Amino acid sequence: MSDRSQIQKPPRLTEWFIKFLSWSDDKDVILENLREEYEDRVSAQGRFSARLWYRLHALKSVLPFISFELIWRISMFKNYLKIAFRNIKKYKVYSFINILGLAVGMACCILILLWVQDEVSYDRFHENGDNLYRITVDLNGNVWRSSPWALFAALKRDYPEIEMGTWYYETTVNSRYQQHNYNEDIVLVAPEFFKMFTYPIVQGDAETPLSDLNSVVISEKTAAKYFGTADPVGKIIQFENSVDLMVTGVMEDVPANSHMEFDLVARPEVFLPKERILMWRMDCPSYLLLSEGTNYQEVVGKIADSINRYDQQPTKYIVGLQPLRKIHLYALNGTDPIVYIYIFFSIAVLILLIACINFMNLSTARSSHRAKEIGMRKVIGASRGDVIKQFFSESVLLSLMALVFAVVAVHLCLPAFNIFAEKQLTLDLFGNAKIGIGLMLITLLTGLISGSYPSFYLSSFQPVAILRKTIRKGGKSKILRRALIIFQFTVAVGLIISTLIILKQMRFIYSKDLGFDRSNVLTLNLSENLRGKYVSLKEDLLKNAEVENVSAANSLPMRIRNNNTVYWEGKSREQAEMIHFVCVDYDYFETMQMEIVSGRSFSRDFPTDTNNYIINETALRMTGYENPIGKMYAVIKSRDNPENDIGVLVGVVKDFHGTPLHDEIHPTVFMLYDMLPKFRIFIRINSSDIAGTIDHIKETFSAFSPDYIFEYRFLDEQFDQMYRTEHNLQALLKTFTIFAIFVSCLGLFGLASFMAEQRTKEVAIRKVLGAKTVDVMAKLSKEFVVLVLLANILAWPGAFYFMNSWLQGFAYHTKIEWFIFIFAGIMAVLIALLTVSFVAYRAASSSPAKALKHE
Amino acid sequence: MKEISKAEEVVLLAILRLEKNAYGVSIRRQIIQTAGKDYTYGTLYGLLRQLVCKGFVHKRLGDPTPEKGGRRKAYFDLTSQGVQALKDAIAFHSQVWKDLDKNSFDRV
Repeated sequence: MSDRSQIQKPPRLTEWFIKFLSWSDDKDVILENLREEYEDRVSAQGRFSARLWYRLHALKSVLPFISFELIWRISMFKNYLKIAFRNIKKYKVYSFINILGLAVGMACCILILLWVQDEVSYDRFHENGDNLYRITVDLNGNVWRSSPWALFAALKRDYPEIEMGTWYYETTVNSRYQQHNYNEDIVLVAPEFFKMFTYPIVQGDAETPLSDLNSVVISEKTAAKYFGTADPVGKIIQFENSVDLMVTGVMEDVPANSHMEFDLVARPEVFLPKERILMWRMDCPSYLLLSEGTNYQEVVGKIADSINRYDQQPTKYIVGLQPLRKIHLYALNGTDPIVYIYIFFSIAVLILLIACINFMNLSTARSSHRAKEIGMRKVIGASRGDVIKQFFSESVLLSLMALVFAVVAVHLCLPAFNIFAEKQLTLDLFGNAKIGIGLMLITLLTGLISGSYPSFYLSSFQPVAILRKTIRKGGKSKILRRALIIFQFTVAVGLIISTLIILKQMRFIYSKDLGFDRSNVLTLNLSENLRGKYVSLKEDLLKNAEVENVSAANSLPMRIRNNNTVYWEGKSREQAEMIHFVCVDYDYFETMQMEIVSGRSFSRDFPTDTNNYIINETALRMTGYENPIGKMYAVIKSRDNPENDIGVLVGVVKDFHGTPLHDEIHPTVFMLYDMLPKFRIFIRINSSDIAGTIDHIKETFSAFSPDYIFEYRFLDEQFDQMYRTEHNLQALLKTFTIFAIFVSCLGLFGLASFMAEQRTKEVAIRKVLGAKTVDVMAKLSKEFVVLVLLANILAWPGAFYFMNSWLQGFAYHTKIEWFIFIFAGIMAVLIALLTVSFVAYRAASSSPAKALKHE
Repeated sequence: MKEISKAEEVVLLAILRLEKNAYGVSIRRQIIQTAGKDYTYGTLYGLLRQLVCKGFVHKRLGDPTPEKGGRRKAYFDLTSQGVQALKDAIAFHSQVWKDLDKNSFDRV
């Protein structure tokens, strides 16, 4: 008999270890047994060996514990699954609503996440990605992605950390090979381009494809276009009727998620005059490759004033570096596109939340159906934790089922979505492991979130209360359920308001008077060949009765991006300011129908006009001239020959939007001088037979240059193109708003049906006592309408704040008007009413006799 | 009817021998004594639970210990099915081992 006064406690730590391992009810008993045997061993073998035995024993028990736990858990889960399926079958309608809601939510989430993932993956495929940077130039607060031609070579020479550099000059050239004749977009780079960036060359010289000046690298699809299946390497393509380039390499088509898009690559020396390439004027983007491990901020510090140093220009250019990875998502000025990613991501999460809330509401509302089952389980011995686990497994199961539907839905919608978003997204389950894992995570998350509240709520039922049928219709739970519906509708209303406002802004943009007439104007790009014959071409075109006016310039009127420096009376050349400029032909303002507010347009009657200037009102304000006509004005065209720059103002044009409506109107100067080639021709037509007119024009062109490729666009089309991002945003938002509303209504429908079901007896009695169907319906609906109204009030401030901030991103924007909010509110209430009254009608019109029969 | 596993058989026999006195410690000691097998409590309780599930063993809570708030010891008794299972086991064993004994191995 062991001495009870000397009870030895077994090693504490090990005890706790065992307690932790064995989650079952046996754990106390097991510990009891162990303690008893321990005591016996202490008296038999002494304390030390007893403790040793105890610890060893615990260790040996680990595996059996775990395996038996698993087996037990698995069989419990089998039971949970069986019951879950049974419930689904029993309440088909509600289960369907639940799964549908979850599926829609998950589908939206998946689509958006695919989009986000694509955006974030831009430019990640470059091996040297971490060390590649684009040179930026900051002048007076505006950051440009272009830099001077001569810069990178000078930097490379002076700073050893800069290993390689290249230009990236995009232009369009005419190409010819045998019978093929195209206008091709081409990119002119330094030979190290392919060493810096990872664009694999699959045929031809992979090491130094551009070492020879007269070489060109083409993409696989371009190779197919020109040469079919023949070997392209070594073939010669002629560009601009004079430049023969040999194909030295074929590269893989540039992937969609690259900010640089091109099909042909060549060297600038064969296309551009030498002086241009040695220039210090800003012209095109340049990229640098820094050596491994360099801190790019340090380098930025060193090169910040490099242009000023090298070029000895008085104007202050601040040089910077933009990491490659940031180029796609971060703009240099204004809103970063990454903001859109955050927005869409939040919307995805919100929609998923709404779907989960549906599930929560429905499950808790219908809790009385499961009450008996829960009571029985608890009586038999289930702990609260077990019941919680049961309902979590149910929600995860439903999520899995929803996942199947969601994936199918995504597959179906992806083609349309790709068109909206202008991407090529795929749901490649088997190819990309990350997607599979992502889907599983979403499902798990959905299941856990939606199951959380119901699990805790349902598991709190006490068996005694259930069996005595005294479950309180919990005041707390009712409030929570209402709060959830309010949340759903707040989100929905918020989305409606946002969509409406964005729509309004889009309409504003499209209908705003730009200051010039963009309709009925064709634009084409002139080839080098035609540029030489421009004057006669214009004469011939004007012979056409349907052609009202013809002019040319170096850029589109709504896309004026070139800049230069100017000065005027009272300013010295060194104090020159930045301004936008356009090189135009005679009749430009007439063709564009821009209003000249003082002075005149350029005219052939005045031969000195070739050195004169026209400025817009904003530029005029800069000068402070009161009577500008005849006053001096100068545009710095080159470093030498300053007298050449000085001219006279002959006219002032009314301000027009030369840049997207995000920006303020910039000061702009117009000149006849050919500082940049005027390769864009504008033709204003005025006939009703557009097709016929175009044919006539085409004929005129072919008379001048038979192999000219007549590719025309309408000016208003090109204008619309500028707002693609906003357009897509609006389209996507519209779609997701509809989804959010749909899912919210689904939840409302489910909840309302359930509540109606609950009150069948009440309704029946009211009818018996003489209430009309309409009254009953009104009574049932009132509750929900109040909730929706509340949701509105909550949604308004948030929506206003966000939309206002978005609109501030536009220098010119529409106002947010009150009636938008009212309209959204009314819409929400109507939709809710529609949903609820459908249910209410069904409930109210049911025969009282049937309802009371089961009494 | 599936045969009970060797381990289950051992536990059932131990319970049989202990008559009304089979609980954790005693069962374990008994098995060490007769079969020489040192089962851990983890294994043992897992087996016991399985046997309860199959209906061969019944778990009975005995009187609480004399201490204040004492817990009840869990005793295990054979059910009628358990007894039947043992009978089947013996029958099965004799059938399989028919006409063989420890001397039959010399033939090989």
